[in-house]
Amino acid sequence: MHTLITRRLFVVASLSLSSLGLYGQQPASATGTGTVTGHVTCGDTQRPARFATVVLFGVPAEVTATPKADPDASEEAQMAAMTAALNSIGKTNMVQAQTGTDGAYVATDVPPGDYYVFGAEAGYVSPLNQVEALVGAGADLKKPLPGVQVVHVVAEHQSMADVTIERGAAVSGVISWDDGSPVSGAIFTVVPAKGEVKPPAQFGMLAIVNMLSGGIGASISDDQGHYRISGLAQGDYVVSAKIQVGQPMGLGAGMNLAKMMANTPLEVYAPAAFHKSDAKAVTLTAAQDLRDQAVTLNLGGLHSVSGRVASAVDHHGINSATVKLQDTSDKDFARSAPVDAAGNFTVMYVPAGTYTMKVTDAEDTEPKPKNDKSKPNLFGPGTKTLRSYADGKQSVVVLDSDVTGQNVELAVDKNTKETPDFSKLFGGDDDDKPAVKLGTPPQ
Amino acid sequence: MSGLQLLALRGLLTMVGGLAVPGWSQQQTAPVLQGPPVAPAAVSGSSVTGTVIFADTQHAARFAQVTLQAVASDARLVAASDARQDRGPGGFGGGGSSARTGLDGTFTISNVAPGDYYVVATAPGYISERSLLQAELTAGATAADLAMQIPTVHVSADGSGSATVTLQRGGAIAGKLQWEDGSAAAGVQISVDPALPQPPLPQPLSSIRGFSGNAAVTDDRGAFRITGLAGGDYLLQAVINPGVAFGGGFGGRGPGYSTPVHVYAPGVFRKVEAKPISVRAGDERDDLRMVIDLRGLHTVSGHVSSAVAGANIVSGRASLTDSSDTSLQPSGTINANGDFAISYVPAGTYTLNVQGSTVANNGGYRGRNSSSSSSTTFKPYSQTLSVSDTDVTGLGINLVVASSQ
Repeated sequence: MHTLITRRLFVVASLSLSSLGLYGQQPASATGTGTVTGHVTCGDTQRPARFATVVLFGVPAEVTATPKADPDASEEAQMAAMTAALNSIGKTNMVQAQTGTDGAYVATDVPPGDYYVFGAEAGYVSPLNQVEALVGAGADLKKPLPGVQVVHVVAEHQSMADVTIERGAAVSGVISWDDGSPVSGAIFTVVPAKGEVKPPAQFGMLAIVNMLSGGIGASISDDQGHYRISGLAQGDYVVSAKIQVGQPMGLGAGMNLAKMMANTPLEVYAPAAFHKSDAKAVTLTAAQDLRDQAVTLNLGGLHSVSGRVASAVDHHGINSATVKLQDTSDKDFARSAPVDAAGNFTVMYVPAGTYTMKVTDAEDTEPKPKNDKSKPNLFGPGTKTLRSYADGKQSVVVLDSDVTGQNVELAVDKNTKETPDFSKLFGGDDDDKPAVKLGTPPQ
Repeated sequence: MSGLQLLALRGLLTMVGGLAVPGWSQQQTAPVLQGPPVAPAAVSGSSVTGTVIFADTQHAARFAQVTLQAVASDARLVAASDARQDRGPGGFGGGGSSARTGLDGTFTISNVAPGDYYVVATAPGYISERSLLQAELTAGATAADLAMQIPTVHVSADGSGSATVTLQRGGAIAGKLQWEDGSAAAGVQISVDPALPQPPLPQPLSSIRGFSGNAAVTDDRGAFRITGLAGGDYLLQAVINPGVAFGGGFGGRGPGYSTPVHVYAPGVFRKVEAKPISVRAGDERDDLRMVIDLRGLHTVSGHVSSAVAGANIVSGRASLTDSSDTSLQPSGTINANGDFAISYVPAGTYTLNVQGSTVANNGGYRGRNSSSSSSTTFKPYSQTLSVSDTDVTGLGINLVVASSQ
């Protein structure tokens, strides 16, 4: 169960990012705070940056390197790491303002302290990207970040901070199927070729700036297959496109979180690789506009792996489980699928290779009786766990055809694990209580 | 497993009884239960299978989203709500009321409760069924004409059948958004809306939902592209939000936050002055240039006080309504000092409305519980205000108590 719990929490965290912005700090009092004013200028044109986002980001009291995500860590360890990360986000003091037509901004009611001052606008290197680039270049996190302006805010005083934003590089092109027709709706991002640099958890809230400033750092291919990612710091990148091939995502009646998580999108790297090691990296210089980077999605050579998950005791099909095929020679490549009501599964779009097939989160479930409260349930109707099963594991080799008959029988786990009710995180039962209170250490 | 039966077939829907879909049959294999079944999860017998095709290319629509929406007189009962009751976790593409097509454009939606459903498929660049119906209704089609347009499937307890949905390529409006100095207006929200008033769809068609991708955000070069438009006249608008802010700036002593500025093509601030763009299905209008010039706009600011000693106005809103276009309603919040500022106001004659309160608004979720037993209710304030070629500053507004409680 543990991987499912933690993955669900990630979804919860991203869903509630906007409310984190409000809960993540103490209510500002009108007295005892300061004001920051200044201008944001575009470094390339020397013109004022219009309607740019300005972020005053409290210099973290302590900075700890982000621990590497370890999928094999115990559930407790993962929960502890997540709680620590959420708590550090909760302690973040972040004030946002916006410039006008003249590039000027006024940030009021800023609690006293030291702040990094960031500017953000589409096409310019984003605050998160700046921090990632500095961390990647080996900046000493115990010292102020080099090149980032710091403003000292004093109560009842006005401080000034001007910011220049630097034009980022852009990469664009078209994604097409093997027959040349466009792929629309693919989600494009870039991955640093050397491997991802994770900024310390304390800087996690900067990600929200990317979302507020028009989706900086990502792009969705349009009806002609066009994509364009802008605002990138210089460096070597691999272009990645993710295609949602499974159950459509959405809230409401059709949403089943477990199923959604198990239907992982298919990822392809430019120009046409399913494994990152086969991708061709692009080198972007500062403010470069690199075009015509074609990506081809050829699903013709992929296969499916199917089978059935059943109880070792009475051989009945288990109606809730996740099946994951992990490539043994590429730890970043895995394909997964949920089982259906009869325990059958089909993992689609699997390239030839050797895989470890893991069956996790196996449970017999039944629908929960309908809640008589008429409130909409964000996660759809819940299920009740009747019985839990031990995880299963076997080796699967995919050559040049579909693989069938991958049947797994699982032993009963003595402890039945109830699926946590995540709707409680949103205060579903009590409107008057804040649902998630961050910044308060757990008792 | 029983098959399914397709009884109703209209418009674009093609009936192919008992079509076997290669690659999908394996997940429909009946479970072989040995021993007593522990899990009582219902495996409903009915499924809907089919294909989604692009009319212009005759290609299969790959990974298009398909949803079954219950034909119901009650608009709230959509998305096969009955199916949730007996929905199992499902396999790839199965379960619930929606699915994605595969490489060959085929889809399977399993565990469907018996009933009548609209088959709604969406793909970027193609006209959603709801948009198509709305455009035809606006063009004068009758309810009977409309009912012929929408693929419908009847699912009985032991039916068998398949559906083909053909998607029509929509029109596209694309171009560049610039500031008056020629620089790109990047990261700005853009949307298109029908120029003519949209009559409501008749029941039960009004329950059809469908993604209509009529909004976009300009990229770093100011470029935008909005697709999937049914034929018709559209208004293109850019929305500039001058006051998206959170953190310490909420509800404090700052200048307050103004409502978004709406700019309509070719560059006007009143909807009535906007120039409609005609689009036919399949048309590409990719040469649009829209220039935003905010230099001629002004700020209206002032202070709100109350006639009651000790009762200071610390929250509320001041809003302007344009006399020639009531859809132009710039407004601003009243801050903790009683000050307000409405920014980016075009010249014109307005009605200024002010509603103030002595109860602090903390903003966001924190404000949910704010209530005060000592609150005073004030009469809404209203006056005519003319904005010509300068900012209007120093307005002094005194609110009068509405009634004693």
